[in-house]
Amino acid sequence: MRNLLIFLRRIRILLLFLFLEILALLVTVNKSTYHNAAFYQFFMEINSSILLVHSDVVSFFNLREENEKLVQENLQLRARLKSSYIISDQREFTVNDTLYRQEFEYMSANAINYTINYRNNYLTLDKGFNQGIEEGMGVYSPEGVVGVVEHVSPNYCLVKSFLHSDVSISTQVKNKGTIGTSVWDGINYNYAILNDVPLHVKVKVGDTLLTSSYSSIFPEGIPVGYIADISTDATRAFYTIRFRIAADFGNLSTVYIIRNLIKDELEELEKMKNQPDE
Amino acid sequence: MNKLILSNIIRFFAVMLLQVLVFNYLNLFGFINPFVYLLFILLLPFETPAWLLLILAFFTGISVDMFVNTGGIHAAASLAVGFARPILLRTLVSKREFETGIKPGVADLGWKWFLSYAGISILLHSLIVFYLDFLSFASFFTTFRQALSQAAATLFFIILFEFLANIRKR
Repeated sequence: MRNLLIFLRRIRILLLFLFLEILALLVTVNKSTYHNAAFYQFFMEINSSILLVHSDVVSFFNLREENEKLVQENLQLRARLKSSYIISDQREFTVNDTLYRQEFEYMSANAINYTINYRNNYLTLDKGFNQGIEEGMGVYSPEGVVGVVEHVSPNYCLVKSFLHSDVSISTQVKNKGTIGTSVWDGINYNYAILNDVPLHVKVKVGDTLLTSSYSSIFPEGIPVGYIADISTDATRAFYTIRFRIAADFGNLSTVYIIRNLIKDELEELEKMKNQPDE
Repeated sequence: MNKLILSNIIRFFAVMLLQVLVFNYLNLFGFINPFVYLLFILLLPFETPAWLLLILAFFTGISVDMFVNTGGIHAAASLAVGFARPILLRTLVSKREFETGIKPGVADLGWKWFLSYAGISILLHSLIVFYLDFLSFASFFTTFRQALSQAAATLFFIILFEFLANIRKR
């Protein structure tokens, strides 16, 4: 017994090292559980207020570029205004508004922190549950899809970026009506991979990739990327498409958070499908 | 002694703020963000007891993790550097005897010593960060290349800081 104690005393530094190392690895592996811990929320509020200093300075110097982006987006939206269209056929009915129900609602936010050089990247935005943000909401920038809200604190939220191994986005090739899944392969933050596009679909380099209507997180038609390289996968049944990511992850500032107003209804409906018949 | 503790505390905050407000956004060549916070662990005095070194290394690492949402990757890597440090010091300074009051920096031990000391620590740290981040060896060489370029950039900035600190002293 005494020898054991002496031995333990001699290797106490090694034991401390192993204990702390295991702690660090546990935190790494169970990251999502850890993100939900109450103390983490507290740290997030403090960290974010420090990071705000950085984003304030940087966003000041990026104002010109940011304005340019927003002007471009405004032009696109203006082109969709009713006044931008002429009525070509008088026999057409005027659309009754009750036929359309608003499905998506948008809120703007600023990215105050982001990383791009890890395998699993996150963003911090300056809106939290006090501003109505909830987990699972989609986030996109004027250029394209950015990510999904993972965790919310009172005034900030943590967003799983598209540059994360858990995030995949249902994607369509514009005007081709085919649907695949986009994932990031972790190598270059400018490029990602689109899988599951069957070989009979004619895709070509430069085609635009948009979000599909299958997702309950993103509305249809938000840019995901532009095809850069096409090859067939190992099974020779599908294409593996490498594309340039639409959103500029190296320079994020203003982003939009999307609330799906009928998501709950959809989820409830889809849950019923799994229940056994009476 | 108190002055030594105070200067280390100030260095901790200075290096930390530099890391989270400037270097985490540097994106050199698109993806390199040097880990300059290692300077704090590297410059801790020789008299720091091993247990304190481990705890400080862990704390430094986990603080960086908090800012970049990497779980405990930086904590694990810094901890390894903290654990390896006494071993490294023993091997590197075996030819010379320690004088009291000497500090692990360029000023007291010269460039050659500091380069090998910092170089080995930084390389160890970068390799652990990148391989833990990918958690598989599927893209072994890509990860290795990234870790190497990261280590080189970190070493460059740490040496730059040491250089600036020594100019001021002269």
